[in-house]
Amino acid sequence: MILLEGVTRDFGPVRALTGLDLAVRRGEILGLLGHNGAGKTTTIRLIAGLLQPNHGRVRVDGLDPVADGPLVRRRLGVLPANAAVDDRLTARANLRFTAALFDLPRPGLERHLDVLLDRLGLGDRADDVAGTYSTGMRQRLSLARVLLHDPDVLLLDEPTAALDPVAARMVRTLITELAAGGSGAAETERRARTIVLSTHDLEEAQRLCHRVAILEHGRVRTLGTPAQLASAWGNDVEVEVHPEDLSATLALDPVAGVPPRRLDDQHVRFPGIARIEVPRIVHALSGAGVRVYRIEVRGPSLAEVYLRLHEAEDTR
Amino acid sequence: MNQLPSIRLLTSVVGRDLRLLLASRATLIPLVVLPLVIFAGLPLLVGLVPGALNLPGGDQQQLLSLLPAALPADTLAALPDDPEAQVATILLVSLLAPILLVVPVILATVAAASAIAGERERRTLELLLLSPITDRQLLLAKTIGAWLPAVTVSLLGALVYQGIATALLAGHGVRPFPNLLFTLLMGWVAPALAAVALLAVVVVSGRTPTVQDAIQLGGVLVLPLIGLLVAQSAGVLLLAPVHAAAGGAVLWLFAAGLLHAGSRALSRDLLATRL
Repeated sequence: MILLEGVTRDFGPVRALTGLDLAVRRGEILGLLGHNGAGKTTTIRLIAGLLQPNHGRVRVDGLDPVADGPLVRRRLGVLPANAAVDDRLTARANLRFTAALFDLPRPGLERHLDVLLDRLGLGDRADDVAGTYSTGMRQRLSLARVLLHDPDVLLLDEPTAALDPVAARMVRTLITELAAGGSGAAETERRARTIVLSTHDLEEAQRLCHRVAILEHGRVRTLGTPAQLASAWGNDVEVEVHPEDLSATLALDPVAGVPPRRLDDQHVRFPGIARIEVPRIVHALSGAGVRVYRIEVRGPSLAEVYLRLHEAEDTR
Repeated sequence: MNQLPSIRLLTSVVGRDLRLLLASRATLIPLVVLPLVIFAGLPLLVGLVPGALNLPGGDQQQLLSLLPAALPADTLAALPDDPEAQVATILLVSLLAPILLVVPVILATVAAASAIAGERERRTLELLLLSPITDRQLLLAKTIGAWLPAVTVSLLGALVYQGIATALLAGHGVRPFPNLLFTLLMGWVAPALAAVALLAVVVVSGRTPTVQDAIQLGGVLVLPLIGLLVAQSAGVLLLAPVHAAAGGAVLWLFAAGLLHAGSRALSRDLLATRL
């Protein structure tokens, strides 16, 4: 479990975090969202013990990341925003060096490296110098380094930012497996992990994260499940109807000022309508005698919530 | 609890630094070329280039008048009668010796600048900071990784220098080595000087963004030391073995102080702030 209580961190005259409170449970994926400079990377570095808080306290499984730094970092796998690999070493040498830093046992290490490199699609290039890798391959190698010592807690700073869609999907699958207790590589016991995921990809956060914290100027602006945030910050929904009679549906009067619009040959939609007005659409369809095969109400995405928060901040 | 001793951790960082030092042309060239020029080129120039020792009469006499202070008694007793051979002996045995100390200083500076600032430039410093290594272990590993090659190359170079000087002076019937002053300078002062230079650079490089900045700032710190060496080689100062022994001790103490200060100055927080 990760706990941050009233954490403040200054860089000279600039206050990066202001009384930050966060708690991440074991097995949970917490998404950190926010603009550049909102405090996401600083939060990750504080949890990893790279930075010390000016005020407040940080705990990882009850340990202080600064006072108990080596012990905490043995439990952590941290993926920095810039892939931390040595371009002058091969992928295998990079991982061997990390293994030595974490004092991993030598017997079975090579087999472990092979499995991990294969899992991340780098098996064929394991003995090539990392400097010859593409950005995405370097990022995957960096992820292999993070997973090498089978950490309990993962701090991932934009893990899919540099990846192509196929590699990004593979990494997202891996993150979900890791949180659920898979190891990602070795045949070890299933063990749920705590994951903090900093990302600018709002779709990714919506898909992967159990909860999301949106940071703003070093504070948590809002925190909750994607559904909770959508409900709290988005009143408008989109209603999609699959009617038997398309023409009759399109001829309906506007509902709460929103006219029906043709989506395709089979569907009609009412965009941007207040959630409370949805029953009136059903009532209008029923009143016109239109038979309906399916009606779907879509809340705002996390991206829309994020943008609304941003707009609200701009108007303050 | 937070100072888990780990020899493997230290040796892995040192081993990696040494391998990468030898694999990099930018660091390997000074490691090879500079010692070749100083340890082999300089004595060969002094001994073999005709006229290299043709000092003006007054200068030669002045140099010879300094002999009693400059040379150990056993070397003085074995000096040849030929004035040019006497000058060659003085240069090779005493006056050039301090110049040789420039080699460990420069090699240590180059290696040390790569140690922290180089890691930052290559974006691999975060990799180390995210590992279980403690701040003190990191400083120690970086220090050893830069000190070992600088001192090893310097000691090997000193052996080459002694071989060449012995061969050059053999014709004059002089056996200049073993020589206490030279042994003290290369075996006691040079390693201490390398330690001071590299610790200064390592500490400074925690606050500089690039290797070049680290070398320049570190160079400023070791400049007074180089000044002393030049003064000795120019005859302004004349070192006796006792001076070398005492100077070496002071340098070792200074290095210990820098190591202590460095473990405070080179904190994880400071390094992470400048990532």
